[in-house]
Amino acid sequence: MTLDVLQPDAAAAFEGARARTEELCDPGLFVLVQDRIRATLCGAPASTEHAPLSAMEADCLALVDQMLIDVSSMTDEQVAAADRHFAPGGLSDFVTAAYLTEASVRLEIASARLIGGPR
Amino acid sequence: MTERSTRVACGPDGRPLGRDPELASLVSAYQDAVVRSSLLDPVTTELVRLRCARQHDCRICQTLRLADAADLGLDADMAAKVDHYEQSDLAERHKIALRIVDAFIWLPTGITDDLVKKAREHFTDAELAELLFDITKWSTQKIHVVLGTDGADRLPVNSEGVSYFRFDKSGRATGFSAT
Repeated sequence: MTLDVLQPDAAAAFEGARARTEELCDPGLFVLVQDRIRATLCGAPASTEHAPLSAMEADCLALVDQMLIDVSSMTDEQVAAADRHFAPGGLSDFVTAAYLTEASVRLEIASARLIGGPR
Repeated sequence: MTERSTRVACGPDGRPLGRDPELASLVSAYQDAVVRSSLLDPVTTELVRLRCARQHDCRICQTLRLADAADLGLDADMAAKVDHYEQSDLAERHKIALRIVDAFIWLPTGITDDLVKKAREHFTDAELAELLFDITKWSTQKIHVVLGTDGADRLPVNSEGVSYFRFDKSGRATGFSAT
C-alpha cells in the first residue's frame, strides 16, 4: 500500500500545493533548493555542490539549510538576507515552496520505510 | 517559547502581504484534507501535534490544545510528557508515534528496522499514512516560524496560557476558547 492509495485526498491536495510552488519559483532556484534538500535528507552529494552561486541563490540556500537543520534557531538576519531578493509576498511563497519540497522528500523516505512508499 | 519578531509585512489578519492567494488556498485545502482523515484517536493526534510544536518551537501551536483530546483526558500533565516521552508512562503506542515524529522531523533515513517493526505491530498501514501526513500538516508551522508569524497574541488564553480549539467537518480550525 502507498500514501496515494491510503490517503488519496491528502496526497492529491499536497501535490496540488507543491505543484503551484513550482510554477511560482524561479526555475533555477527551485532546482537548487530541491537538490540541496534531497542531498541533506538523503545524505547524497548535491549535484550543484560546486556551481558558483548568485547572491540570491546563496542567501536562499542558507535559509533552506537553517530550515532543515533547526528552524527554531533561524535569525532575523538570515531571513532579511533572503527577503531582500523578493518583492513583497515573495519570501512567503519561497518559504512555502521550500517547506513543501522538504515535506515531499521526508514523506518519500518515511513512507518507503513504514508502508509501501509515496505512490 | 522563544521570542521572535514578525519578519515580513503582514495585513490586519496577521498573514503576509503580497503572498500568492492561489498557493495560500491550495495549502489550506491540503491541511483541511489531512485533518478530515480521522483514523487516529484524538489523543494520539494531539501528542503528535504537540511534539511537532515543541520541536519547531512554534508559539501558536504550543499555546493551542485540541479540545477533543482534552475531552478524552489529555491534560497538562500528559501534555508535558511529550518533552520526555521515552522516560514517561505514556502508552507504548504513543511512544512509537512520537519516535516516528522525531525521525521524520530530524532525519527520516534514521527510521530503524526496530521502529518499523514496532510501528507495524501497533498501527495499521492506513493509520501510519495518516500519521505521516499529520506530521507534515502540523509542521507547516515551520513556515510561520521562519516568517515570525507564529505569534499567539491573538488567541484567548486561560491562566495557564492555553487556548482550546476544534476542527469542523471540513477540517478547518474553529472555536478558539480559553476554556
